[in-house]
Amino acid sequence: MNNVLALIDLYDGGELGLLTNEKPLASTTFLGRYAFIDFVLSNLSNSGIDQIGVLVKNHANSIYKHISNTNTYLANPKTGSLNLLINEKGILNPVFNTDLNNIRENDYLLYDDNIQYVLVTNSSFIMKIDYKQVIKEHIKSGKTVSLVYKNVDDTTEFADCLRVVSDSLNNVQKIYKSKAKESTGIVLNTMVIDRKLFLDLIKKINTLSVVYNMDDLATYLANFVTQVNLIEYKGIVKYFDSFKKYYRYSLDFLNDEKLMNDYFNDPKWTFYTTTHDSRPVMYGEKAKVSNSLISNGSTILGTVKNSIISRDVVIEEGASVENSIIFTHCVIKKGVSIKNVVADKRVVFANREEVFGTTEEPLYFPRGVNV
Amino acid sequence: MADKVVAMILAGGKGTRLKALTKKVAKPAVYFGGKYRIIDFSLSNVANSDIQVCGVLTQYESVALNNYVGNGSIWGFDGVHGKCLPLPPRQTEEGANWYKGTADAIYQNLDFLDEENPDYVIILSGDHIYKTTYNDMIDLHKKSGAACTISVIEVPRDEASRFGILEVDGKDKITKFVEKPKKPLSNLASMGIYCFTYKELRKALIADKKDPNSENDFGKNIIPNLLNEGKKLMAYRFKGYWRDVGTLSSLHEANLELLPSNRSADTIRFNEFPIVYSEDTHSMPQFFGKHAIVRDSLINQGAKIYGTVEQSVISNEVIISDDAIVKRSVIMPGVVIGKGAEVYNAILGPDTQIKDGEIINKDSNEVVLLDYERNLK
Repeated sequence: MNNVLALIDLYDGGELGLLTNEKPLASTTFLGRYAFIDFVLSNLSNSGIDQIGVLVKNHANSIYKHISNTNTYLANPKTGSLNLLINEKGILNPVFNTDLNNIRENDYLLYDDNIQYVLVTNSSFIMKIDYKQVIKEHIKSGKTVSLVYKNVDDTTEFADCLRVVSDSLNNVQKIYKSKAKESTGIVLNTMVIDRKLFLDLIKKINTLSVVYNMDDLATYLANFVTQVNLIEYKGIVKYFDSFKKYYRYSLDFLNDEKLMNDYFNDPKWTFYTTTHDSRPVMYGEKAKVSNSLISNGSTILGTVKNSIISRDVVIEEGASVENSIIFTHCVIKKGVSIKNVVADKRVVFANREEVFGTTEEPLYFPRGVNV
Repeated sequence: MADKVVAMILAGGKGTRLKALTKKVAKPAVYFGGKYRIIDFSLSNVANSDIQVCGVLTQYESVALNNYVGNGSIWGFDGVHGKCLPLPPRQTEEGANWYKGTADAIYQNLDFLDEENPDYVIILSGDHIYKTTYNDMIDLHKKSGAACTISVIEVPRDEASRFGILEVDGKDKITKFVEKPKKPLSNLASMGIYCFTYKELRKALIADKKDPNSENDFGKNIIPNLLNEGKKLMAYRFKGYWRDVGTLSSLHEANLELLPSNRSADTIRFNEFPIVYSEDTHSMPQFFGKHAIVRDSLINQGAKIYGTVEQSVISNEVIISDDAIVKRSVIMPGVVIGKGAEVYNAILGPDTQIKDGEIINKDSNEVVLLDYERNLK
């Protein structure tokens, strides 16, 4: 699909508290081997879209490190492209650092006449979505904009998301924000829009306010409801906007077979990520491992239970890890027990025998500290 | 400018003694260590030696191997000066020829080498498990001014008659080379790794081609001929772990040597330089079910373990179901072991299926091989 330009909006939600102090959600480790952005990039790859711009809000270095090898995601790195888009003006004046201003700074992508449709999406909603189908439905609708949404019985897990209400003919009634718990449609911050209209819109919105963002644009569209098409996403979706949700949703994959199979047992849908050429995992003679995901390069000599272990982690003999998420290059030394912990990269657990959080209040240790 | 070195990897062999494992792929493409293929070791060694150009000579069941090697991007040969290409036999003006021997394989690709115009050529086997860089050997070769340097390893005397055996003088200059001698006079075995000065190699290959009685083989013809001509040949003493996994039992043994309980100081440490590169399978991390038991094993990403695994090497996309037991076995990609099945001392080829409750090779110390064929019965 070389007539589609995908913009991955990293301005969109996605703060995980302490976890995203030094890096964006997009490059944060997820399920041991992935980064969040791998999911949206893989969805695009599986949908045959390889004109991609990534709207980077901050911590560009971390994103660059993860996705600089475009061969990982693009079907053809010559005909396709994966561009990191940075709003340099926004660095000097953060109030201007919005996604829409970023697009304006990098609008050269939008002047490509081969592009007919712009697909705006994000990396905070983890889902398995066929964008090819979305574009098809958009074209079929004959409208100029399509919003992808999900019907939920309970909005608790999506409290801060835009909501949408439609009538029986699927016409948009309203797009709004609310704190009320209700059964309604959640906007998945995924939108298809005709390229020329999008160019016009970002100029128009700018005259209303220079600090408006994509949410404002979506809300503005509600003024032209007859031109807005709704596309329902029926798959499983997880919205990541807090540290606790990160912890809970990650461990959900271990305990919910349906969720796991839906994502990772589909021969037609592969999740791509950069390879580090790590060796297979080595298990010692006294290792005990259950209900866990373990990534290559790790050495497991101790006990691991209900946990997610990233690449190149060492768990020494007599050490024990339970209900925890351990990032790359961590070491859990002999005799140390940890429970309900999220350990960022290169944390060494050595000098305290018991490090216990709780299911509701997991402990977080930032990069490189000794515990 | 630094001297240019080109690597040529001999990867055409069938590996008959690996039986069904090489029914559809050449020996260098056989899986090893849960994640790798045998040829990954030589190709990674070349890459880690900063050698940028590499030809892979394929012949037996070449499609799978050519496909795997591709443009060499797995090992980083797609950089600015990089080049890696499979070189299967081809049709030329003189007709179509199979590679008759190791030397003939290189001879038939002299045009490729002439194009590259290297100062030195290293000739390797794609069949061996070892981690090294060739730089010390190449340095020794350059300093000594030899026509050819052969990498050698000390083998037990009683096994020496299985190898090409070298005799050397006090400065490791080769004085005699005998292929598989009945009464070996030394324990220095050729590893089939040669460093040639290209001009000398070219001359030797052309002369060998003219000899109708030659078997066109490095060990049998080229090396003895060079010695007869009075050329200087040196031995380079390789230290470390090196295995020719030519039989099912040696393949099984070499795999199990990677495990914590069997490792010696020599055994390959994959986490240490030089790194062995291999294809990434885009698999999820490995998953363990609630009742899984795993001990003393090496397991690759994408495996799903619900049963028991002990002293085994498990590849990607393998499923070991509830209550299944796998012990002292090497399990290749895509294998499914059914509920309650038991597998002992086995090599399971790619995509083999073991039915629920099946018991394989219990109470036997002989290694068995099962492969995909059995699924079709």
